[in-house]
Amino acid sequence: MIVLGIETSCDETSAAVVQDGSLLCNIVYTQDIHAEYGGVVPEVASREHDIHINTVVNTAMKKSQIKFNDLDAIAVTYGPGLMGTLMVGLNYAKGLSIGLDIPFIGVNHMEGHLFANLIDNPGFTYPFLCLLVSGGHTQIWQVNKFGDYQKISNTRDDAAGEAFDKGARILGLGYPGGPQIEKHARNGDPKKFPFTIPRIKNAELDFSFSGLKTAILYTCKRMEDQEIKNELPHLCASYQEVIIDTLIDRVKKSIAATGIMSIAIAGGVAANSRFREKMKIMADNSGIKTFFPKMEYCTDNAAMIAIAGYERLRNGETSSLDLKPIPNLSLDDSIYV
Amino acid sequence: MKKAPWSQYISNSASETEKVGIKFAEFVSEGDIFALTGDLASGKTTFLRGVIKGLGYDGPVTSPTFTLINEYSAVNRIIHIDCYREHNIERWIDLGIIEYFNNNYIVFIEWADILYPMLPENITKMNFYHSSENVRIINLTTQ
Repeated sequence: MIVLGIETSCDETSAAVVQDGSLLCNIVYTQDIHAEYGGVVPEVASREHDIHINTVVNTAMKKSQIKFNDLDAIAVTYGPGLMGTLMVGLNYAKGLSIGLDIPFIGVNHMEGHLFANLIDNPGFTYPFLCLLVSGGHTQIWQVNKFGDYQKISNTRDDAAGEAFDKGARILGLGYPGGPQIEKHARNGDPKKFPFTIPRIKNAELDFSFSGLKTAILYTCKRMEDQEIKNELPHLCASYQEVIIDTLIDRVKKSIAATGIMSIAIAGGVAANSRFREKMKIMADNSGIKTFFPKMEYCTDNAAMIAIAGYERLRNGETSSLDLKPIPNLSLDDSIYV
Repeated sequence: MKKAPWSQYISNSASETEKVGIKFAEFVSEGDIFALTGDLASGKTTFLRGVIKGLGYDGPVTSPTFTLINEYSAVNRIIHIDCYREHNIERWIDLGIIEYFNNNYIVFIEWADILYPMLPENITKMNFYHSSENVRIINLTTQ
């Protein structure tokens, strides 16, 4: 069975082709990052998806050496995301589905992220935990089996990637903030500035990063400009350390709470090398199996949508052409016919 | 908004900012649009977390900085927009943002100043200021 996947929920226009569960091709159209905007990537617009989607789909088909007539189904993200951008992908997929007279499958974007862990990773089996940590999300999921997921942790305010980005802005560093802080932190002392791990009463698995913005802002306000410059590696190292230690603390607690010993780490923040290093030490010391999927599968991409769609199709689940985009879709209310 | 509870509020902590948001929700009605401005860490999202809770949504209210628009279903449809990482007004128009400016929604916009030229006239503007590490000042103007 061959499934074409399409993803347009936010910034990225992406298409991928999956044959019998194996990924043939994953194309992501990402526009240039305009660093001069200092933290702003002005690349989002439904019109942009409209302009790129046809090229992206055709490129994915060509690279996979698959003809449209060979497709068995079209899988597409229908939420969560932005109404305007979801609509572009959904309508394109519906059009193809009608034209080719093949089923169409609406896929939950978050389910896609959980499935990205299984691409090219045959040794990884259920049940597993998944820490999804990016600019938009910081969540821990318990994945029992296909279609059976439970969110056991979430951020109460900002995502970890956002904390990196806004911290970098406060420190006067460029965009994207995560790599900037990581770079400057390399020669810094992570214990020099004692930022504390934010805790939440009665919800010890949850995250809260919003208060760290205030902490670094006022640490800087108490210093002269030259002093900030001199201390920059230490500021970056200390700030990075508290974010990473918070992530690792919640991972440990989630493992203790569920007894599940495998964890996948997905999302942009998974690229941070200090985080990888500390996760590895923690895992080696406690016999936990960790897995970092390839970066191309843990940022927004259509490969994960095609894989999840393929699994749905195998279970005989397809969607009605009446399916509408649902911007606030949760994993509890997926609709399949 | 029809009637504002105050024109200035001084909050002494993040938790007070959230609590005053919960109370503020009593004065919010369908069709209202709120434009929030203020520096990083001045309490905009914290305040709105309270307001959205007060409007009857009991799930997590997270920052829309990266997701751009978060939607919540409570008694009313609540739209939480953040212009922090997208400053181009044309792109917001392309995203269909104008569709939210009608009587079916309650809309909150953070870093809203770039959208002023396209916002309806009867919006409520809220400016957030740092006074000290914990103290925040919120100024409110109805148009």
